[in-house]
Amino acid sequence: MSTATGGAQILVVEDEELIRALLRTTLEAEGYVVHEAATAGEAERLANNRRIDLFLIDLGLPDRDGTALIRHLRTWTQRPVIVLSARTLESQKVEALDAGADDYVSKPFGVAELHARLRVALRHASQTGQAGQSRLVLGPVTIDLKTKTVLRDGERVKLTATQWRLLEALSRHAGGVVTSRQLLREVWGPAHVDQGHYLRIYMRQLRQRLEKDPSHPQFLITETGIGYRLLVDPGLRTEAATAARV
Amino acid sequence: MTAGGALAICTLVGVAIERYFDPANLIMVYLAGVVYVALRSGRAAALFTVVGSIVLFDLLFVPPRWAFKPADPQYFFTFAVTLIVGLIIGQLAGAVRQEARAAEGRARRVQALNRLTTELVKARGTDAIGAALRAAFNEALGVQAELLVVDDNGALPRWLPASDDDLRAAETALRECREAGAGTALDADARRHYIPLLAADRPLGVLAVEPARAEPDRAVEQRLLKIFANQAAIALERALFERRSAEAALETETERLRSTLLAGISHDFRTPLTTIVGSATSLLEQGLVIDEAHREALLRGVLLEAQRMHALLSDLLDLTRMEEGAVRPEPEWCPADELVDQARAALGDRLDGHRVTVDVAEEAIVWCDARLVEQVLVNLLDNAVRHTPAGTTIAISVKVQPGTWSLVVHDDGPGIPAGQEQQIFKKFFRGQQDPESRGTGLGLAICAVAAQLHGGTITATNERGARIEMRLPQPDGAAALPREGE
Repeated sequence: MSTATGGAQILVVEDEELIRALLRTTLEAEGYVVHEAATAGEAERLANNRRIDLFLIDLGLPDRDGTALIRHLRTWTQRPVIVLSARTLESQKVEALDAGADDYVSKPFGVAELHARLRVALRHASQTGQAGQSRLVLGPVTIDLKTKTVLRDGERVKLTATQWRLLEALSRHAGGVVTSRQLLREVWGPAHVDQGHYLRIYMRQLRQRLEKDPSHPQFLITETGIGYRLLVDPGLRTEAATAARV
Repeated sequence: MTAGGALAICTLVGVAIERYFDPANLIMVYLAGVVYVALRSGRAAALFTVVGSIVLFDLLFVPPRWAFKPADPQYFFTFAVTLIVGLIIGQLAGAVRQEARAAEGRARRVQALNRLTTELVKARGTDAIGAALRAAFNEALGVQAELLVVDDNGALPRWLPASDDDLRAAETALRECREAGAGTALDADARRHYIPLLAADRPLGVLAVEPARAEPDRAVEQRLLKIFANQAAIALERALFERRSAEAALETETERLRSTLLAGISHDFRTPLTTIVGSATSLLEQGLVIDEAHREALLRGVLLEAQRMHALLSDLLDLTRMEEGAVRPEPEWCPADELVDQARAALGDRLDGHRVTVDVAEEAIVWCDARLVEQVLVNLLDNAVRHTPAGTTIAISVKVQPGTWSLVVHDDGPGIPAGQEQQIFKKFFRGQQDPESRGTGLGLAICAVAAQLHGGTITATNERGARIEMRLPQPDGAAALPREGE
């Protein structure tokens, strides 16, 4: 068993047998322990009986909507949930993320992207599981959530209150994707969830302050149609980008 | 008016010639006035002029002046004869005038009918027929008329100005195929007169006519109504046939498109599938005798072809969903430079072989659905990369003008083959047959639909290379930003 993944237990919820087999093969090769469920009902039974470290859930399940399963899981566990979904169904992904999923992988996926997403989610979970991570280091930029300060190349970066709240909201989900709706609610309040342009404009301001080349952001990534991601491992982006396009 | 004027003029003439003529002759001047008034203004005015003439003549010219009773009793005879002659003239002139008016009315109605017939021949669609009828009724009878055409279920349209009585009368006319409403035996409470328009197999609609204010001849009006209604029915029936045949033609065209699409799809899916199935079976059955390098080449082929199929399927799904209205643009204010950055990031290293220049004002904010416009830009850039040699410059620019904004992708490559500037936006149109650089044939079709969904346009031209411009509406008043409250 590989120590890189620490033998984390993963519950794969997917009704297509071939995809399940593929996931088992590639996940076990990385050293994970894999449990399989073909339906939401089966997934709930397994989740109650085992200590699951991460859920990998296909949204199109035969007995119940995958989003409903996520909502149910979120009533008792904060373990990371990653969603598998077709590329074109952005609204479905957004719904799953709003229901409490941490991230998504678009079908068809390359295994490199899948493993990268799992690593980020597990690492994030273990850190928040402890005392809570208070410092994020993104290349030359350091974000300190406790003292509410941002350093770039050792120098303090001045942010307005709104810019800080936005960065903070992204940092709390570092690595994972946060939907526009969630960000708007957390930063501007529930009355502003339809004001998408606020986000775009403040995101741009953050990029101008924190990114070396704001037009080719390395950390503050837009996930078009879904939301934003604070990338803690920039290597991931290029992998994902090449996997998505021929 | 005419009568008063004529009397005044006759009096002035009388005063002017009074000293040369015997007073009895002056009454002739007034009679001339009576003839004039009778021809111009009819019987009543003529009668008024006759009486006025006698009074004025008596007062002004018959001695003693300014008194009614003439000194010479023979003037009573003059008055009596004048009255009788005046009345006869008035009668005759009035008849002539009425005849002239009737002739004029006939001519107007014939003219209106002629015009209606010409208009109805030209009219395409029920709206044009309705307009022609309205004009004809107004011209011929001076009344308002409205054409109510039944829909495909045989129901009348909701007609706002109508009262309940009128709605009922219109329904009755349609159901009974008889005239109803004002002036008929059915539902006479209605304000208007309803005439059903009948085709061979079913009623097509109803003509609603307001009652004429003062039509001297009811019979003429009725006859004209019938003629107009007949003309309208014929025109409506023809419009209906035309619409049906247009629908049939559209259906045939849709069918043809569908089969082209199916042929395109099945070809485009079968080619990569052949590679995949061939490589996989080869690896399964001959895996042990194939050397490592060739095994990897086969596997890479499988991956590449699978990704190509995925791209095709995604494009096809996007296009279908957009065309069928499942995708509705959700426009927002977006920083233009971010759209460009996102699209470039999505293409990754595919742009590396080309020189890309960007001309976007830093603060430019545009109104659009970011996802759709990014997809458009990705497709345009992908298209430019596909159809130009390495080293070609691809210029991206965004310009904001009052009311509109434009996105232009302009390369200095070989350009679009002449005459194909429109076709490149069609499904499965491929400019290039080189299999290596073949796209899905759907990218530009998606751009066209995306532009259309935004209420904009997309055009391609050759200007020392291919230039594609998308133009989208830009409402007034760019985004209001939240204030920093703290």
